Amino acid sequence: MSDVHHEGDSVTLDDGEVEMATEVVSGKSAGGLPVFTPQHGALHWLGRVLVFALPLAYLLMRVFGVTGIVGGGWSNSGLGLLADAFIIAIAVMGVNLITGYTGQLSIGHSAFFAIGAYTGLVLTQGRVSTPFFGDENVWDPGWTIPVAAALCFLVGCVVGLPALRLKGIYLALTTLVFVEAVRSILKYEKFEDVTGGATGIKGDKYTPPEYVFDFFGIKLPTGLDGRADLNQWMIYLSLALLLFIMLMVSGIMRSRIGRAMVATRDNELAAEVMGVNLSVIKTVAFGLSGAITGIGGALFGLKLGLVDADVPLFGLFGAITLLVAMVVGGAAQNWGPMVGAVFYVFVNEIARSIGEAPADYEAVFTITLIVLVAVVMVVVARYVMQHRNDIRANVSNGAWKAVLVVVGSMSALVAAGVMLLGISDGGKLDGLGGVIFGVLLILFARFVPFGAVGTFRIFRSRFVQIIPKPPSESRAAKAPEGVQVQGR
Amino acid sequence: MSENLLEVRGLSAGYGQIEVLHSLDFHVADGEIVVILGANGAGKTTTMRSVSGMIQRSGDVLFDGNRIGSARPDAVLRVGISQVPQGRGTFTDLTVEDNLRAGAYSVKGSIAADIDRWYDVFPRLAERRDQRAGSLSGGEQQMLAIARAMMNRPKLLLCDEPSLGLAPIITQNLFKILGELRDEMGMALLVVEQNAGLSLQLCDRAYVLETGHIVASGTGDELLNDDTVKQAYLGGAG
Repeated sequence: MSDVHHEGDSVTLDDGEVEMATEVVSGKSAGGLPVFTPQHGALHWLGRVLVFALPLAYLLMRVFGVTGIVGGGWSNSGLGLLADAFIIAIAVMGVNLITGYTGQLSIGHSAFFAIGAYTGLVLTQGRVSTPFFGDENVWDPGWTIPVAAALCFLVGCVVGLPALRLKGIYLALTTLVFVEAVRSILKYEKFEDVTGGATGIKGDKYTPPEYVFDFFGIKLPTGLDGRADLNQWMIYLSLALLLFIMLMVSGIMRSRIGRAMVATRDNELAAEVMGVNLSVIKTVAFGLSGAITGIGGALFGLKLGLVDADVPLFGLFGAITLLVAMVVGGAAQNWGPMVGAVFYVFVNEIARSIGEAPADYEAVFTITLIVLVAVVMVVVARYVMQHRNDIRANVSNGAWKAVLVVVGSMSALVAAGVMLLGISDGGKLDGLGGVIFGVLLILFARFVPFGAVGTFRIFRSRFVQIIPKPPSESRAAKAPEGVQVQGR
Repeated sequence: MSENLLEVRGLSAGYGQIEVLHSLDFHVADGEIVVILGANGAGKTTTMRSVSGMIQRSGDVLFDGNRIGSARPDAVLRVGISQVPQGRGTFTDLTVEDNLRAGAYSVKGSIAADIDRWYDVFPRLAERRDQRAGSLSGGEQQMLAIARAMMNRPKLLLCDEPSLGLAPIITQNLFKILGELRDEMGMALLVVEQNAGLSLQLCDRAYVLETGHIVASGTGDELLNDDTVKQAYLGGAG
């Protein structure tokens, strides 16, 4: 009601007209002052750079072995890490489908990851008899991926049907039990012939194929040099699958089923009233999400070439990891899992290497850089949220303040880094990596609850002027049938 | 009696061991607006839920020649009963248009014409079609909830306390819209309400529900002038 007299808003309170409280539309300027639009939104682009470009640039430096700037020395394994990031991103896509989009908290998706990984190795090692498939029960690695997906879909449906009648924390606890149950089954000695029991399965690493496809003599060579280029092949394979799954999920979310999923999350009661069969929708979502995470698991197993039930990612640690990556990237955002998984894998690796390496200049610099990027992201996001009206009212003044905030926080962090260097005094920074990782996650949960991608979306929507679409020509011209309740 | 659109006989329902509704009898004729009036805890929402099949209930429920006394919600929806749930229940993270599409979840075939039609009725929704439903005001969300329920092309619309949390002027207009919908579409309405003054003016007939029993019934005017109703719902003053 308070905005009834807002300039340019033509809402009038005629008799009988339903007053729809006018909202302050983002970007609407009082008194004709400049409005941020994507074309000239300096802060908008700054946000984009901070959220995406800096981590990406850092990542590329690592992968392609640009050393001497921020440490380095693991560029070769950097390829492996990037493959890991894409593989985990696939697994996180699965969690995002059931927890992010459908709103059912699962602390059990690492079980699907484990099932997928075991499927890959069991089949490539010929540990089960498959009469009609495979050459003497030994499968081509590529074909184990759809099998893992199908198996995880079935397991997801069977487990999901009873579990999803529970809500909230009870569902979470049930999925938690699921993880431990799967681990116990994988270790169970009666199944040793298949799963390898407590020692797990040690197979050969996946050998990349020579050709991407060989279709009646039409061959597309991969250009890879056998097993030495496994990491590179895994990057191609997992990135292709990740993009395919992202496309598939975005298609699902635009379909009737996807709307039913989001409807179930937003309001179960109303969804049921619309005729959504809650247990069917939840079970299908759980099965699908299990299948997606299982694909990630199969890739993980094939890349590693060995599995056992005590791999941390197969247990509770893995389940939490997947959830954390989802939250960091942004729940219910299609790009969230990729961003979150890349963030997770690389920060985890850095934290680990810091824990092992002696504290030297580079390590401290690396820590400082990560903290710097995170804090600057957070500070700028907070600042922009709080002062968006000021910024809109006076662009130059606002931009100056932003620069001041950024420079200020940077110098504070550099000072902190120098202090840290002095304190550490060449000693080991044992365990500090974990602390930093924890602090980063807390910062994320507190200040960036919508994750990197979600925050970026909010950034964007703050600066994009939302202009109500005019009624389309055809609609305006058409003689209105039925009741005309609120006309202009 | 047989020409009644909705015929409810001996309807009992509750949650677990607790019975909330004790053998209710009521009916809604074609094109009629019926209000069930009741205070907090009288069983209004339970009545809605037992008609739409969301809870376990016993008794006969006949709708348009179908026995729906033990049907599940999706089956009830298919015979032509839509519900606007209490508190509107808009899907906050879906856009306005996707909310309408979700409303047609059980409709087979093209729904583009339906969407256009409800945009004509509620132009404000057309303006906000790409906005998240959670960013709408309370009045707009109630419009959306009604439009969404209408996407199912119902013969009977159940409204669970549409006035909840809305300013009096918005409630008044909302009831006006409901009346117009009935006039234009020949659709029947069953509304549960606490707001006796407005809802009794709107309705053709009304029932008064108290602790799971129907204690009074009559036309809107009759009940407006009824002393007990005046005492209980209109603050005693005429």
